[in-house]
Amino acid sequence: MNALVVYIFYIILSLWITIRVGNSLHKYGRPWIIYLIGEENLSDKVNDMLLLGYRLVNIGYILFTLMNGKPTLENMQSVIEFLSIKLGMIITLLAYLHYQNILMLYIFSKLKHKYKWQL
Amino acid sequence: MATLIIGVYTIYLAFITAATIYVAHTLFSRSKTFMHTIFNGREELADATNKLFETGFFLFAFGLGLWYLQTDREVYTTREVFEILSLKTGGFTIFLGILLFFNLYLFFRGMKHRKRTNEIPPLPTAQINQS
Repeated sequence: MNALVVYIFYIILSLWITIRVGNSLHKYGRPWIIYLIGEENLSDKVNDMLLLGYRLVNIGYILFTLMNGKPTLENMQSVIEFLSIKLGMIITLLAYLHYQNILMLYIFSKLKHKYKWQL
Repeated sequence: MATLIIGVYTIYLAFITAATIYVAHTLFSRSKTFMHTIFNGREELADATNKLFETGFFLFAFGLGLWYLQTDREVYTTREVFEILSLKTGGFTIFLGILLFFNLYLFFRGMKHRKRTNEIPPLPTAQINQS
């Protein structure tokens, strides 16, 4: 199988996953940002910038680790393994970043609640 | 043989997709009740948090499931297909169970917190400081 086709397929698939997950988090994280900042106009700007940073980091990671592990891609088995392992690593990285964001929301809302702290 | 290993991978991928969707649907259609109790009437925060946890569950389960796919064993007979499939799907199912209990732990922690803050009235010193 042509390695170029596999690479293009991999990049399109991982970009699609990253952008869909980012849009979902952008939409459902909005009530939290508004709750923490308190001002709707400023919250939307902050939310947009967080989305941009997320996309930059993840797309950069996808492209940067493309040829890690020197994939052979000579038969169907190695192609499936390449796609599955790469996508698995990227999705796990997204999950890790996402749980860290939930932790930060928890810490910020606790600070706001307990010490009347304002972002 | 090359075709057997591709069959193993296909069945494994179908299994992790079905299992993740089923478990996530079961957990997060029930957890809405928890969230509404925890957030005490703040509907938009409760629904958003439920959705955020659902996204996290999906990402973590799918990500580690895909990462766990590769096997170094040679597969030549139907017996080996069964052995490798049960090893892989069993491992993934145990991981899903652990993830489910982790999510339940977080929900019950929130419920405990809600109960505690309802029981204890605010201290009078805090009111003096505010005014």
